Amino acid sequence: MLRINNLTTSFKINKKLYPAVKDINITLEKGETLCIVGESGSGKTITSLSLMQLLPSNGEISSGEIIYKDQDITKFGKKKMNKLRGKSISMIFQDPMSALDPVYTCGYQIKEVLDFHENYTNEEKVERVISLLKQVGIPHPKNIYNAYPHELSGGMCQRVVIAMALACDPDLLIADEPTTALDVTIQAKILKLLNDLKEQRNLSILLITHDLGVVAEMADKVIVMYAGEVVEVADINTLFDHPKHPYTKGLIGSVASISSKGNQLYSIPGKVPSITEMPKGCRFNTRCPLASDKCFIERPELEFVTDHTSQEVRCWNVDTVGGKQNEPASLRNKKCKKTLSSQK
Amino acid sequence: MLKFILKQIFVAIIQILIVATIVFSLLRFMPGDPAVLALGTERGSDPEAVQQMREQLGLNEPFLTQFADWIAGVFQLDFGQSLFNNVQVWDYLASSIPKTLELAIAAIIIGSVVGVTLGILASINRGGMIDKLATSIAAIGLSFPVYITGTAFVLILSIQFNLLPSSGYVDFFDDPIGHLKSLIMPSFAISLPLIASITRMTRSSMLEVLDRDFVRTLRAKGLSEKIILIRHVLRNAVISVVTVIGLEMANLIGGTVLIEYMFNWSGLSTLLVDSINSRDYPIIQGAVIIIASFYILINRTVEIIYGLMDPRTR
Ligand SMILES: Nc1ncnc2c1ncn2[C@@H]1O[C@H](COP(=O)(O)OP(=O)(O)O)[C@@H](O)[C@H]1O
Ligand code: SF4
Ligand SMILES: [Mg+2]
Repeated sequence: MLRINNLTTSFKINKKLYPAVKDINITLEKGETLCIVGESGSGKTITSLSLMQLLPSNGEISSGEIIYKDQDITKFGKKKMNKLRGKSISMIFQDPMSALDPVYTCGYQIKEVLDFHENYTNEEKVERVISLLKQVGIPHPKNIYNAYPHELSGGMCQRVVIAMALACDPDLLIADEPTTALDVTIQAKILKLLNDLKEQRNLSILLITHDLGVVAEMADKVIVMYAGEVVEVADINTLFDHPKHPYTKGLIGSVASISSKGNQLYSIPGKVPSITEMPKGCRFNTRCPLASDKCFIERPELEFVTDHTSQEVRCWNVDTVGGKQNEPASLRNKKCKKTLSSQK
Repeated sequence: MLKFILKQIFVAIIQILIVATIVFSLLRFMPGDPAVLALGTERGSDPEAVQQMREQLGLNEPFLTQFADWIAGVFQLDFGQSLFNNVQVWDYLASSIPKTLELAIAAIIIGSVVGVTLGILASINRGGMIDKLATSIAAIGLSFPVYITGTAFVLILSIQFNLLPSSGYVDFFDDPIGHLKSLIMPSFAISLPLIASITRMTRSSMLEVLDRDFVRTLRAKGLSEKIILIRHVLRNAVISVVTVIGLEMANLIGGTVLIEYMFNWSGLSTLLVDSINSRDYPIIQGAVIIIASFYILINRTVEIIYGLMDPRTR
């Protein structure tokens, strides 16, 4: 249903163009949840904003196609894009408390989507808004209809935002860190709501998160992004059982060390390079425990790995189809963890 | 909301009472005999005249009676008589208030319409030609004092091109067109700094709102840019613009002396300055109280409008 081919989005900084995401490929089928995971700054939000064509004014899609329902929407004009947004593709954002206009009631803001996309009578619209509020699990929908956003909690606001996103029965829902700003119990409830809605409506969800816990909860398929590139693609089980890319392993390792009782909190040393200072060769080479000479010279391509046909990895030192190394994954995994922790 | 409005009215009454008390005390507690001060050094040395003045100012009554009479008078708009003739202070005020209000309202309307429009255009063209133009107009408006812009207007529009009368108040009922013509230059001269500050405020608050997260949500909803700008961004931005407009309006009541003199438009400021020059205490008191009351009422009204416009403050 959605296919993103070689998408590159660049920002103009001091009159020079820097790619923030590079050669992104994504496919998403109907009824599927695809998670994009990666540390903050790895280009997840920019990928989703490119898809919605809601980039900040200094950003632009510099190449690639976004094929949605057999049409390349990067070629759509403003009007055509507005018809798509909120109707067929909806998006919800990180901070629900600031996602709503403070001077209008919640009900009005949901109804506004219907005003724009549907030809209902006013009563039908109001009825639909109330029923949407019910569907997203809001206890007194009629009261909430007339409530202002500041009168609601974060979790309630996010439900209102979700109701708004679902108002016109979209086929694709993009959720950029929808639970990051919420506390843990609310987080679980919102994730469950999204999962239920997906089941009921056969919705495709593109879920962006930096939290592997959320990924485990939600994903069918996972894309791991680092420094504006896709570094690993796999279905959920493969990713957790056989992570291949050193970065993915690092991410999983850092979660494992939080959940295991050990008091040492492991995380990958260093941070995501900024888009103006991308390292040459592999972009992870500054932080990678397995980095070899080649990694500093040549950029690896995203390639299928030998043992899991649906898995793709961008790394010189794993056994991809074209790769050379033959060390068993489990052993390397241990070694990787050891190297990583000894670096601390 | 009704409770909120009632509260504002209550606050206004208390504030006016405080002002009335201060004005009352100033005359009583000034060093020296107010009667002597009112008479000036020459006539103040004549005990008979002083006694008469004390009588006239009501200074011979018991203190509390004076205070009660004064407060009761204030709320009935009775501020006594001028010291130099038997004309009621209120009569002076009644002829100046409409002029002051007319000038202030005209200037505020011009300032708001032009300022808000320029501010919107500047913000949606951020960094572009229109933005630069609007920002320069704002800078010019703020850097020239009114007597300079006023003089420039007179030189160009009246003397050079003879389009408008150079000065002089024309009564509306005598000559409506002439009256409006005489209003144009002073109100424009006063409105220039207003245009400047309202443009700036509108621009910066539009930009601030445009940067907020909810605007992205609105775009994600598929709304057209025009609706987003007018229904949402402007609607949020005017909340702070209204405050600025209110403040400017309040400052205009009693703060337009120079223009009033220049265009012979004798409003409250002129009355105040003249009465200070002639030490006509009752008029000074009345003018101060009226100016302060307008200030208070405008601020309370702004508060109410603010409450109506921003659900978070209710
Ligand atoms: N408006 C912008 N101008 C310049 N660089 C930007 C802009 N927005 C984001 N970036 C850069 O693009 C990169 C990716 O950002 P983002 O997609 O927000 O990361 P994520 O969502 O994964 O945390 C970051 O390095 C960020 O600094
Ligand atoms: S290519 Fe080299 S630096 Fe990059 S992830 Fe693989 S081993 Fe590490
Ligand atoms: Mg992000």
